[in-house]
Amino acid sequence: MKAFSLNRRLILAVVASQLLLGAGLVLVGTSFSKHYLRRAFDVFLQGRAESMAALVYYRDDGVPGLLFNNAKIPPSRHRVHKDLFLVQSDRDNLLRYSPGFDPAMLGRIPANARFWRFHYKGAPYRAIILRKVGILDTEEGEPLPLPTLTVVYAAPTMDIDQQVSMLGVTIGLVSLLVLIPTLILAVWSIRRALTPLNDLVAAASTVSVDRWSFEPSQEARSTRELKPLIDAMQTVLSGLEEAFTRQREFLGDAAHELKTSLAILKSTLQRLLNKPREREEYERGLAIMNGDCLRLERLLNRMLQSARAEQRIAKGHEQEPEPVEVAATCEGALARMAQFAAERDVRLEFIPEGEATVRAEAADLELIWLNLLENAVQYSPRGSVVTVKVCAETGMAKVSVLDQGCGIEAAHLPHIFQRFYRADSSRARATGGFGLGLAISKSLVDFYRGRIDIESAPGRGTCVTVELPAEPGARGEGGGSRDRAASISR
Amino acid sequence: MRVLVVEDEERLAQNVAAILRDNALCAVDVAPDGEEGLFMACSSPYDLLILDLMLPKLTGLQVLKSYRAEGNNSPVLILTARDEKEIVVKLLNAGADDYLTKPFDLGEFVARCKALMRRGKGEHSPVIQAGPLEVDTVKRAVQVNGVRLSLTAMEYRVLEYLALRRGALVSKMELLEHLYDYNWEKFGNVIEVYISGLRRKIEGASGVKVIQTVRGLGYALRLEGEVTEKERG
Repeated sequence: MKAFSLNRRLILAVVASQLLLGAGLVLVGTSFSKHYLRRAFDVFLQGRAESMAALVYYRDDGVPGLLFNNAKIPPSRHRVHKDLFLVQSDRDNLLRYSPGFDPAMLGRIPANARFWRFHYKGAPYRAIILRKVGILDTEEGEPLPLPTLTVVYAAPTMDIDQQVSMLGVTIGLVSLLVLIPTLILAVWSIRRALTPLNDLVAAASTVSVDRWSFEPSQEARSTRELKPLIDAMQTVLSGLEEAFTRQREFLGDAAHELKTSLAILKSTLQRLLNKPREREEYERGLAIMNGDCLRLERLLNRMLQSARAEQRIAKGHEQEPEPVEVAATCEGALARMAQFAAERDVRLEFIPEGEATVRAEAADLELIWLNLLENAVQYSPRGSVVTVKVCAETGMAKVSVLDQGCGIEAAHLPHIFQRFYRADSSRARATGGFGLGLAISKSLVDFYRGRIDIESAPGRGTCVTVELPAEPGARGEGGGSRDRAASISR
Repeated sequence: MRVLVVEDEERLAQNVAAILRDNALCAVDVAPDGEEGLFMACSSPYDLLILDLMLPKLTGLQVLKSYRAEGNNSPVLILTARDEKEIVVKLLNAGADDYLTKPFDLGEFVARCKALMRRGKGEHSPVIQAGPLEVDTVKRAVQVNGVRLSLTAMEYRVLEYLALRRGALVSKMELLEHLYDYNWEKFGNVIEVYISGLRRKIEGASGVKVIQTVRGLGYALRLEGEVTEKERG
């Protein structure tokens, strides 16, 4: 698409409207003036014709008859093209006419018409025809009735046309003259009016992946038309920045985690190769590196799980999942955790206080419980108990995982759901954690529109509670399921 | 030479320490976090500091800044998993001498450590000469008039330290501090044993006396007739 300039368009619009206005003024002005000048001309013609009629008088000095006062013929207005007239009595006893306006012309006058236009000696003329005009200048005792008169008076109309075109030209010129300051004013005010827009463009063009701050000028922000756009842009940009920063942090952390794991593996291998060693030393080294590889594999799996959980939140629900019994998924997770717990001499306890069903993928729920259980078992001392409680509260299914471990300091709690966050990195590595379990759980819980809370104090153990919206009507009746309480341990 | 490794990944720290002990014949101390690292770095004279960037308690950058603020000028090598330009620039500007990104090659790591320690002592060439004596710090070989001497590991370390501080007066205490790690009981007469062993081997091969004893002050690797600043003063 061809780019167009808002500035130029606005200026063009101003010029066009100005020209249109000028043309309109010329048109209206000329037609009105033409009309009024014609009217005035006709009045003038009528006056002249009537005065011509008034020059006819009746005299009875021996030979009675009509006379015409030649001396009082009014002068022509035009010096070259003289006025033409013709006065004729109905009884043919008087006929006066100006030179060149002979009675033959009478025949050409359209019958009954009051006005008549014609050309004479190359000039346009307009004539008025007065019929049956009475003689005014009479004396007493004259024989009645007197004849009536037909008066024709014509004058050149060039003056009208000239005046009209003069007026048109004048109006046109004036409009053109006015156009210049209007244009200057328009350019200035359009520039001025577009300043906030230009500011906005300038502010927007400074936004980049490295610099997210979008601060348009105060002028742009106080422009009513731009405010919704600015608000929308700011919302989008801050969202983008957050997502971008989170992604970058995740990438940085993931890279750090992978590189560190790889550095350990590589340095172990190179140390082993550094000098000739005994067979047992090689075997021990290889076993250690095998463990490192397994750990790397677990790390990669965890990172993929985390990425997938985040991606699902971004995509949203494709279709509503089937209702799943929460207690069953907990039992599944507990069964999978049993061996790990037994290795660490931690007892797992399951207390289903109520039944609840939620609409979720069973595998997702199991993954949430597994992550929470893994953390709980990892940070639990030998011989302690990890408890999983399920209960149903008003519209929510509630699952709590409690441990008797070392607890978490309050300063770490706000960050505990961040990916790769570990309250104590050296300890976490020794216990095999990556700092992803809680983050994955939170992503999944968010995905199912639930909430996850953590309560902990150093030395007092940790309790993680997950609440998920329960499927209505499927709530258990409290103690009824207590007989299912089982202690899964070895 | 004595090195402090500040690294929270215990396995990595142990690997790095072992390779430095084996391949650079250094005494190595390990600190598991920034706080302890800074304390150890400031309380003992190290010839090289190896510092991880992401450390618990104090970050590598904080340790580095405090270490330099205390007026220590030993070389510092940073280990980092992040290699963004800004971070590298920030590190170098804060007083780091070199950096390596994880995962690194142990061979390169050792070479960089040796170069840093050498330069920390004002020596640019890896081969140091004093009359007929030639100490190759890369091959860890000592020659007298082109004939290779066979030295024990401790004898070599004493000689290498004296060679890197060629001409300077080195006290027995300095030798002890720079050749043994934190856990060692320090006995001065151990040094005398190594020095006499070195003298016997070098003088036996060349007939020239290169290790001088300054009574009550210490030792110096130099030819007879050269005098140190300290003695003159």
